Amino acid sequence: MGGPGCGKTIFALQTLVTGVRQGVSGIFVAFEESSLQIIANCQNFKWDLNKIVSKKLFFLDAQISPDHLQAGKFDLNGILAAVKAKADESGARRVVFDGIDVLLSLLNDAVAERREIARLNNWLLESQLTGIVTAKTDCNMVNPRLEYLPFICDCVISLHHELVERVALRSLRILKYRGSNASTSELSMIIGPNGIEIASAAKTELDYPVSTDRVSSGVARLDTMLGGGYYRATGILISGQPGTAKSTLCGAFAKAACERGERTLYISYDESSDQIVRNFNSVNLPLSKFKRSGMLRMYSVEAESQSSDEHFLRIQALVCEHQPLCMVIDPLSSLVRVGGVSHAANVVSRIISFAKQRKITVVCTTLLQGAFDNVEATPLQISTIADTWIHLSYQIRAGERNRAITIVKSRGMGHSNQVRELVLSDNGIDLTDVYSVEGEVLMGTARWQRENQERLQQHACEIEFECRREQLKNSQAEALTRIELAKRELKLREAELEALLSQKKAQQEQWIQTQREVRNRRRADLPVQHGSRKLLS
Amino acid sequence: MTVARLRPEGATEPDGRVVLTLYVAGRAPASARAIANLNALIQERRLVVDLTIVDVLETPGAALLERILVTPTLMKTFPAPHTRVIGDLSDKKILLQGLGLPETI
Repeated sequence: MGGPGCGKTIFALQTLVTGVRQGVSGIFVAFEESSLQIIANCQNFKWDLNKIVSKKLFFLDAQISPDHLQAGKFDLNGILAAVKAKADESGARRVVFDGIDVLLSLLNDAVAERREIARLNNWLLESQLTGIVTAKTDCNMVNPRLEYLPFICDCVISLHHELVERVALRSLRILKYRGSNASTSELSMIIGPNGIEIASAAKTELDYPVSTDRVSSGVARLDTMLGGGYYRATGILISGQPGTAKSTLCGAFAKAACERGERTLYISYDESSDQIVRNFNSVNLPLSKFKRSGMLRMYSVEAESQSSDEHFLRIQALVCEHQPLCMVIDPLSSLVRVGGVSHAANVVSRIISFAKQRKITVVCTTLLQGAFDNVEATPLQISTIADTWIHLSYQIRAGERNRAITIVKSRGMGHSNQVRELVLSDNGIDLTDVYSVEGEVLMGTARWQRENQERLQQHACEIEFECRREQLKNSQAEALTRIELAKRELKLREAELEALLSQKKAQQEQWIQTQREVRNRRRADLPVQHGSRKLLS
Repeated sequence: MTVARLRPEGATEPDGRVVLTLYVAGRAPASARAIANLNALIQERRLVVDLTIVDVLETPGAALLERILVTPTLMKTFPAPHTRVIGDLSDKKILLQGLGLPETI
């Protein structure tokens, strides 16, 4: 049951088509549209309707002609008999009554309508057929004439089609299902090429494969800050205000992935792929050759073009088609614009889970708007789902804007707590140290000035050192010279002393000689004998 | 299936023969009422009618063939145009309209 345009007919017909694929024939009783119309309208689905119609799937036209006259009360035995005949003839086990309320309303009697519904129910039980009855409701899922219907049926599925912020969202809910433990939460659905697809998988257990393999972020210093790069098969969130180089970091990641030979999917919600390639060329991130070789698949679409559920299914389809190992979604926060925050948050969570299950490393960006400069909170609560969260911000000081990068969190890896400046140039992305002076962080020109100042200081230090060293060398040399002089003087003195001693000895010998000579000449004493002791000093 | 030529007592040669088929569902109250109401009209208007009564519970194939949606359904196949009247025929004005007869004699 559901309101207009919520997909009741498609749902019912899809059930029959699915049954046919499983070998169960079905009958579609069309009270509202003619069977030809329905078949024509469903040509766009990949159901191969033409092949199965009138072999396994049978249509019964049951539109009451406007020319029919009505004279009093009636019952449904006619159509039930016709369906029975068809079922017996074809072996069909499933019957759809699409828009039976059109016929019932002719009774114009609530009690009689109720009786006919009960008749239908009994008839299904007796003939052991599975019946699907579509019924119209208003937006509040109420149809006063059919309010007893949900109580009779074994399974009631309500379909919703509503506008949230001008975007159409479809959802499906199992109101009741006797004898089953089906989830009764509202599930998102879309009507795609395969018919109705339930977008939210009921998988709630988080059990994707984990990896300790690291994937480069494409920026060497960022890898170092992360202790080696992102983990493979994780979700990485890059948040920041407009122009903080979120996309450029994505580009670096994509380029690094392609260079490793890993297939990459790049989804953009705000720029065309050619524009992205051109812009990345300006920061030395050439992607065009990877795009040409098919390594890189780029997909750009306006976020508003479809609901977030449809975006999710599109991403799923692209992933299945391209089989990437790395994926970029830029900016993921665009999904908020289509269908409300809480719904988009749900979709985002599903996208990341889906990617992780497929061992895809997914880098996504989220835009932080407006004045919340330092609010590191994301509109989609992606921050709680993401494994690594890199925050980019502006530092405005001394008339300059400079980009700062920090790693807010990174699950399961040691990471740097440092703020780094992100510098974009013709050579690509670089991270540089920032200066912290008296509690303030310096970047850009201020950083450059500071660096220059430090260079000058260092230069001065070096000159001073050189001078001092020279001085010391000089005095050392001086001392050595003094030592040499002193040595020479010592030698001189030694020589003088020796000369003095030998002079003295010569004088003494001379004196002794003279004495001896005198004695001898006097001839009064005995000549002095050799060997006799003499006192000489 | 019951086929009967209904000619009220004392009716003269038919000035206008009518061929009718009434589809009913067993002894369902609406079907029983329809038979009674139709009979009453035939008597009242002294009509000469070829009437076939088809019970869809017995011959569901006929319902499928003729695309009978509800019971009772009255079909007039002669004279042209073909008309169908659904319901228990309790609304005499509509029934007369369906049979192509004037409201008053």
